[in-house]
Amino acid sequence: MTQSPMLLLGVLMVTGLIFSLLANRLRVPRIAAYALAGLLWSQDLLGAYLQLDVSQWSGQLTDVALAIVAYIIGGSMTITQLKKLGKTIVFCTLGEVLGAIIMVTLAVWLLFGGGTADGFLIAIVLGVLAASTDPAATVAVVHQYRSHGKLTTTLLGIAALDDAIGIILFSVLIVWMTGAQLGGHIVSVSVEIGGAIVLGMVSGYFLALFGHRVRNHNFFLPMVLGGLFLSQGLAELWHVSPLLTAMAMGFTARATFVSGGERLFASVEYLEELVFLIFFTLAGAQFELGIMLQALDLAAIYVIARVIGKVMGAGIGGKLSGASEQISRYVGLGVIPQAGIAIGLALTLMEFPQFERQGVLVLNMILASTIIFELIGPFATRFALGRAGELKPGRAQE
Amino acid sequence: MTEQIINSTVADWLLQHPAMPILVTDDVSVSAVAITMLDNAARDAYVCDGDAILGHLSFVKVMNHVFAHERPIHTHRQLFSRVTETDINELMDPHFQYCRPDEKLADVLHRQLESGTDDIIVLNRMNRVEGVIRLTEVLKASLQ
Repeated sequence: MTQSPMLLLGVLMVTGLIFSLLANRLRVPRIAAYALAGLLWSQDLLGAYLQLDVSQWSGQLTDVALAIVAYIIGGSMTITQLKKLGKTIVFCTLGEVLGAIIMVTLAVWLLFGGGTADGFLIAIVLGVLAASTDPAATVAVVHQYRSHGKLTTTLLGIAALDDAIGIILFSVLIVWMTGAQLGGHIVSVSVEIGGAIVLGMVSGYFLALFGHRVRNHNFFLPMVLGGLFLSQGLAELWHVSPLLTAMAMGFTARATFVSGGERLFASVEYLEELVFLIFFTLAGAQFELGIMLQALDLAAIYVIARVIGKVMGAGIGGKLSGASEQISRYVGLGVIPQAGIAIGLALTLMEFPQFERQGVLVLNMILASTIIFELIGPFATRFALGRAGELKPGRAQE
Repeated sequence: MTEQIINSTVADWLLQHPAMPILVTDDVSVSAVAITMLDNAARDAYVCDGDAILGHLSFVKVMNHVFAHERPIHTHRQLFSRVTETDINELMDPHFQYCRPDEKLADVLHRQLESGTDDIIVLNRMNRVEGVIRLTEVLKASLQ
C-alpha cells in the first residue's frame, strides 16, 4: 500500500475521531479512543497487512505539535499569576513532581538490576515523563461533581503548573543526554539551554510587538504559527533546545503583550485537541504488543511507583507549606491522571540515536500507562475531593 | 437610509445618537463590571484611570470569567486565571479598538465587525472619550 504521509495521517485522524465519538457515548476517555484508533493501524493489527509505517515521517509532525503545546504552556502564566499561586500549590507541585521522578527512577532502575547504562537511561526518562498531570481529567471531575474548596483550587493549580515543569525537566534531560560537545559537556548543556531561553525571549518579544499591530482575527493564527516555526527552525539550526525555545517564546510574548493573551494564544489553543489526536493516534500506531508483554513488570512498577511518588511527594510538599491535614493527605491522589504531553515527549525520543533501542519501549510504556491512569485517575480524584468534603451535596452519590 | 448612515462621519453619528461607553475603574470586581454591562445592555466596557483609557473588556470575556467555576474549562491559561483569581487589570486587553470623530462610519463598522467589538469607543486626538458607536444602534437606524 502507498506510504503517503497525508493518506496515513488522514486515516489515523478520521479513525481517531470516529472512535472518540463512540467513546463519548460509552463514557470512555477520548484519549483512550484516540490510542485505540492508532492501535488498529499498528503493526500487530491492520498495519502489518497494509504495510503501513508511520515512523518514517512522524518525527517532524511530533516536533511541530510539541512546539505548539510548549508555546501554549509557556504563555499560560504571567509573573503576577505565579506570585499569586501561593505556597501550597507551589510546594505541592514541586513535591509531587520530585516524588514521581525519584520513585519511578529508583524503582525502574532497581528493576533493571541497578547496574546497566540502558537501565538507568530508561529509568531516568520514565521518571521525568512521570511528572506531568492531565489537567483535562482533573477539571472534568471537578466540573462533574461541582467541587469547590481549597483542595479543588490546589489540584487545579498543580495540574496547570506541573506540565510546565515536566517539559522543562525533559528538555534539560534531552540536552544533557544528547548535547553536542562544545568544549566540555557542562558548557555545551549551558549553551543549549541558555541559547534556547534567549532565542525564545527574543522571538516572543518580536511576536508581541507584531501582535500589537495586527487587528484582523484571521491573521492571529498564521502570525503565531509563523513566528513559532521560525523560532523552531532557528533553534534547530543553532542546536539549542526547541522545546525550551517555544516555552520561553510563549512566556515572553504573554509578558510583553500585557493582556489576557487572547490575541496570541486563543487561536492556537484551538489546535490543542488536534495535537492530542495526533499524539495518541501516532503513539497507538507505533504500539508493539510483543514489547509490552515482555515488559509487564516494568509497566506495573511504573504505575505503582508514580502513584506512590505523587501521593508522598505532594503530601510532603503540603506539610512543608503549612497546608491543612486534609490537603496534605489527599492532594496527591487528585493528580494521578497522566498528560498527553507525556506521550508527545515520549514520541520525540524516537528521533534521537541515543534512544534508538529504548525509545520504543518507553513510548509503549507511557501509552499503556496513560490509558491506565486515565481510567483510574478520575476515581482517585473523586475520592480525594469526597474525603476533603468538597463535592457538592447530592453529586457525591453519583 | 443605510447609504446615508455609512457615508456619514463618526462625529455626525454621535450628534444624532449621543451615547457614552461603559467606563469602569480597575479596582472593581469582574462581577460588578458584568452587572454594569447588563444594566446598560452594553457588550463592551472600557477600563479607565481618570481621563485615560487603560483597556477593554468584552462581554464574552467577562462572562467567561464569571462562569469559569461552572465550566469544564481546561486550557492552561484558563486554569491559571481561575486559580489566581485574575483581576480587571490582568483580564483587560490594553490593545483595544477605537475610532476618531473624523473617520467614516463605514470604515469604523468594518473594523468593529472584523474585531468583534460591538461598542467601539470614540476618542478625540487628545485621547479623551467622545462617545461610543453601538452596532445595535447602527443596525436599528439602518432598518428604519
